[in-house]
Amino acid sequence: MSETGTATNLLFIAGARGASTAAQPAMETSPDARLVEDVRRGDRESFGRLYDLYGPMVHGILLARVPWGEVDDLVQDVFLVAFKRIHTLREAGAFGGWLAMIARNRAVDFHRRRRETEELPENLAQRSSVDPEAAEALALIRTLPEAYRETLVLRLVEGMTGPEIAERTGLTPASVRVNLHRGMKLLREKLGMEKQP
Amino acid sequence: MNEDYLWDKSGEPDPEIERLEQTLGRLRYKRPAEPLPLPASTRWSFKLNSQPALAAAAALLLLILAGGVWLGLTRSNSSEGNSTITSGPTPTEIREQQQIVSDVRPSVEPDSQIEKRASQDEGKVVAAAVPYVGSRRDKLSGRSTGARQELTGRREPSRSSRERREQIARDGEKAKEQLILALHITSEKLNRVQKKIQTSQERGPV
Repeated sequence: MSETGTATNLLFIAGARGASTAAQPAMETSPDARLVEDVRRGDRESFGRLYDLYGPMVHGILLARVPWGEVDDLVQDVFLVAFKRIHTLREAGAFGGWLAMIARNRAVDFHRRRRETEELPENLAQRSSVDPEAAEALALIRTLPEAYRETLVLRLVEGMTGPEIAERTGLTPASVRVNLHRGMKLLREKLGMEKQP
Repeated sequence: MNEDYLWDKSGEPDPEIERLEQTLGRLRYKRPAEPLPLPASTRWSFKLNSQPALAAAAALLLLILAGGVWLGLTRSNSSEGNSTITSGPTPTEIREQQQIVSDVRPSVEPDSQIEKRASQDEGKVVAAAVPYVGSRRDKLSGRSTGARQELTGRREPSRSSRERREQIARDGEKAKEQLILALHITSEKLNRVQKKIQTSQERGPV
């Protein structure tokens, strides 16, 4: 993992509620945690349900980091890895944060492998199959710091609300709120600068 | 900027945010029609999952061995202690023995527990106290000799029995040190394994 990836993960860990410090009482298990427990017992249908619930989050995290054309394949990769390693997850309630970390690491891994092999220029792959206006807006968001970038993509692309982003990613609502506010402010400035002649 | 709308889509919609949502929403995730191709079986990562189990098994084995050594020494002490008592102690004598035990290690066993054990099996009170001898063992050996003299009513050959007692006490000390060392090593190993697992889980899969 690159230093940037490690630093990003550390930032997210610092802002995350974390499994061990979660405020949930010991007796209360969230519906998602119950699904995770079912998967551990061999219930594949429950994993399908988790795939439905967390697909948008993983998609958003990857979209903030890798070319648009690669995202769908990487989403599948992330869930396959999660399925294979679900037994290593200590706290079922921390599934979202754990899955988000897998997605971020997968994005870092993608870029590392890309540097080692020849690849097509990103623009060609993107512009042939995606709306140009959307691609331009996404490109602007990608110039923002990683924490703001990811939260804005989850909000504006995937349509998740702030509380939903916090719940899924394991970040605290306060962190998400700050990321959204500051990210949007920076984005507006860049959009304003773009519009200037 | 409407903060509430940005946060949870409540309140008056912000026009700029709405426009961005409409534009960027075209890139939104669409669940693929085909199901996720899950592998046939979930393979356990044997290395990762077996490490804590192996460490725990190793720790347990060490504890059992150390406990066995300690028990063996305790039993040899008790058989040594029993052989010098030739007549049953009177209640007064039992109380004197209890006083000796409580003087040597008052923090380990409260008098009520000593009395309870004495009522169950009088001969074992002194024997049970011997392994707990620490820095004040000289005092104990001195006092217990005196107590035993009162019990048996005759003087024992003091030199050889004293040497034997000292040897037993030394062996007991060694066993105690070994037990502490074994526990220390086990605890270190468990901590190391725990840290490794924690680090690998935080890093996540690459």
